[in-house]
Amino acid sequence: MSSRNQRPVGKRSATSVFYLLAIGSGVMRTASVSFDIVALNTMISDSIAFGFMAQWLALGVTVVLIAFLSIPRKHNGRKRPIGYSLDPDFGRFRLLPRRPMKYLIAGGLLAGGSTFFYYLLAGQTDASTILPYGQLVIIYLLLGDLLAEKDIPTIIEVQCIVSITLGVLLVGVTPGGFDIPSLLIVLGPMNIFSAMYTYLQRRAKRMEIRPGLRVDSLNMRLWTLLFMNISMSLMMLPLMTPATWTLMLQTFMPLFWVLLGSALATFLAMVMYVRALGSGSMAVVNSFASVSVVLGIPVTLLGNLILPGAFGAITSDVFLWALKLFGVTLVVVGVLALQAADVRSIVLVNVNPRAGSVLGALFDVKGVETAAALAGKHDYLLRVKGRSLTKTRSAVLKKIQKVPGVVSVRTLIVLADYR
Amino acid sequence: MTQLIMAYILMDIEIGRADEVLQELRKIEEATKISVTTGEYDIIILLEVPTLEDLYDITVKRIHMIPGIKETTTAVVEKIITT
Repeated sequence: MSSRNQRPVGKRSATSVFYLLAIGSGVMRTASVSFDIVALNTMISDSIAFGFMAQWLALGVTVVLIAFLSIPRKHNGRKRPIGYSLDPDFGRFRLLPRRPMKYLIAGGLLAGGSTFFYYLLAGQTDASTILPYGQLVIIYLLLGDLLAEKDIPTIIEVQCIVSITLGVLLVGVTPGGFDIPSLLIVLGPMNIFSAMYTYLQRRAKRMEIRPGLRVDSLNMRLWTLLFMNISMSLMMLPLMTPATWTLMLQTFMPLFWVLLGSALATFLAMVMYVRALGSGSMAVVNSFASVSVVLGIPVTLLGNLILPGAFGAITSDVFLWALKLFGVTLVVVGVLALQAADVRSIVLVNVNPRAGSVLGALFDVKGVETAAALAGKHDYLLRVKGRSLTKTRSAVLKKIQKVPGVVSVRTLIVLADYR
Repeated sequence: MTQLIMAYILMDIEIGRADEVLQELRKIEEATKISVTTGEYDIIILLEVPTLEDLYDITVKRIHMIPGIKETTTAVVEKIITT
């Protein structure tokens, strides 16, 4: 539990850490989904029973894992928990303060809802045609970012996100249509719940327990999972019959290793996802994490070589493969463009001596992330985030110059950022 | 816990030595952000220290000792707002 001022600056630049986390979360999600698919195709057909076991085992695994990660280890002469490398804010297994906990409870209960619908749909034969539409949650998040004043998505972001989303949908195409009720479930409750969950997780992660120390993603995952399981189980119970319970008892042992693998992969996926949320906008993080859909293709192909049939059927239709290829291209192009368009700058502002305080006025300019009043040669230092230099100039600098009292503005473009 | 003192150090670096300086700066634990920039300054770091005395120690005994730094401008933060 070291605050920012007690730990050294990281080795990688802040932007690469952000993109690594977001994409890493997608990779881990692919792994956990593959485990689920293998289990559902080969060992157990009742997806509700499977989901129930998987989620509660995941909670157990998370508790054990966090206890293990709490063990301190000597590193360069100071003691640090093993979990430090997963999230530097992590100290040890703990209860969180009341306010972030409220967000986690609300987020967990909502996530339980979307998980319930996920398992409900996963049990249907045509689930693969429907579930990719879950990725449309990005659109909801984009709207959320638009409503949150400080984090306005730029046109480049919107373009890339649309490209990624369309790509993801194309990757998911399968022959045959889809039935409207299932689609409505995905677009309605499932996506709305998960969008709200994302928003609440982000709020919680960005909260400071004390100056410089944010809520850690490991404990967040643990508590969210607990409340998620409670709400999911409450929804599942009416659907469960005595037969479901006997089925669970019979299949638990053979399924154990698959469930364990899935739980570990999900844990890493969520920890990285939440950490990325701590430093970027919701829509961007989600669109990066959705690369999991693209990764699903090679995993399915290779997996079926090892365990034929376990990873789901592969279509031999050339037209469908062409569509999937278009989808992959759209996703990759979107991801690369978004990553290339990330411009941060530091703006030094001088004001005339009788200007009074303009700190608030400067901070109110959209795109300004941090505003500091200084003692010394310069009067104010602003950290500005934009997607392009033109955008920074037109939207930010012009507005800063208009703030009454500002006499000079000097812009330094950040080439690399470490924190 | 008392409020920490924050200060930005704006640095001018000798040509070709920015990377070396960056590696040295990274070892300072009180530096919470390091930005490599274009323009008037080459590197800007944010320090968080408990007292002004510590700020003095770090600037004079650590940062000024790093070869390659031409000039530094220290700006103590009086007030900061952040997202």
